[in-house]
Amino acid sequence: MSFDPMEKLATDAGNRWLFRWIFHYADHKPAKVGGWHPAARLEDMATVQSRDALALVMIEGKHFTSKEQRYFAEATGEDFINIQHLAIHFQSAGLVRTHVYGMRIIHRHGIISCFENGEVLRDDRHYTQLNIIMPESTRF
Amino acid sequence: MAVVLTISETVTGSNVSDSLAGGSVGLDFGQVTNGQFAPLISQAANTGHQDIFIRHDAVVDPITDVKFYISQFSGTYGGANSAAADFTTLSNYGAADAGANANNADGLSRGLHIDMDWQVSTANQFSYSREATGQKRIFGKDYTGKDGLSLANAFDMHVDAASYWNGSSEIDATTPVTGQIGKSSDTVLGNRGHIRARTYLHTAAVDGGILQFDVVASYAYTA
Repeated sequence: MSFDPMEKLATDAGNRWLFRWIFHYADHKPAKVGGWHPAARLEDMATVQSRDALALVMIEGKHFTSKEQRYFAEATGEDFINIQHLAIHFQSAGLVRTHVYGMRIIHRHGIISCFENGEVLRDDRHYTQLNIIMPESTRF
Repeated sequence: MAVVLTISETVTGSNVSDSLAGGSVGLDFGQVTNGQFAPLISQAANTGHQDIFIRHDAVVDPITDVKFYISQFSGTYGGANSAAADFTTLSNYGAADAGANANNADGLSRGLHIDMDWQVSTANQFSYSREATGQKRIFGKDYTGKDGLSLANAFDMHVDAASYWNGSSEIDATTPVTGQIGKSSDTVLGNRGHIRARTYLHTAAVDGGILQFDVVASYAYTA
């Protein structure tokens, strides 16, 4: 037994999205933008950013091969809780890696998850403050 | 910074590193005899299991949504059939498990079983009565839609798997939460998951040789 993920999360190698978060502030402070996942530095992680006057949180995707960029999801800054990376533990030939397969917005009014294959899912709570920008697939 | 897991056989050990048939590195459960389980010390006494510890290097928040599922072996295959066939075999074993005894006394248990209670007694470990509480899970067996065969149907890490290593001994997390493992200093959630695993084979099993598969741990993190 090993701990390698065999399940291919992207539909194919060419159809894969990377994600980053964007924080927009209401007090004319410049927006803060995370690195394309997996971010290498702690200061690029959403959890350590200021929440003062946070107006809007967005997840932006970049297509792995075409480099097309588009917004996947957004949520109001009020009641925003955190950004999480979705990962699986990856160990192959003795090398330990983390494969990040998505990103999600945790909000007091719900959760929106964006996956590397382009799917976007959200739970069935309240939608007024969380919007899926990409076409929605199945819900939780 | 990505948050990385360490999955080990001992409480402070390095990542699993057994040499597997075919040349890959992972965790070797050893040989299992028909009507028994592995690792085995005494079938009558229900002793013998594989400890698996899960910890991480997050520095800001705990990790959440810790789940487990099995998938087709992704290393260099060295089993008796094929990676795809082994996954099918193991999945079918779990689906067909009809055992009622933790020690496989009836010879009807089969597949990969986990007990997610690090403090379970020897007498109770892997008991079928623990399926109702979510502590015991068999990969491939259906638990109201969750069978542990895919990311979407993965088994949540039970709260009773949460423990805290204080530098000299393993103690209980004070207020653990399903699927969460805290940072290294977190006595409330605990700083690791600790599960027990066994492979079972039913008396009538006909497949021989090495069976290879992956166990995948999934999780969510902030930093």
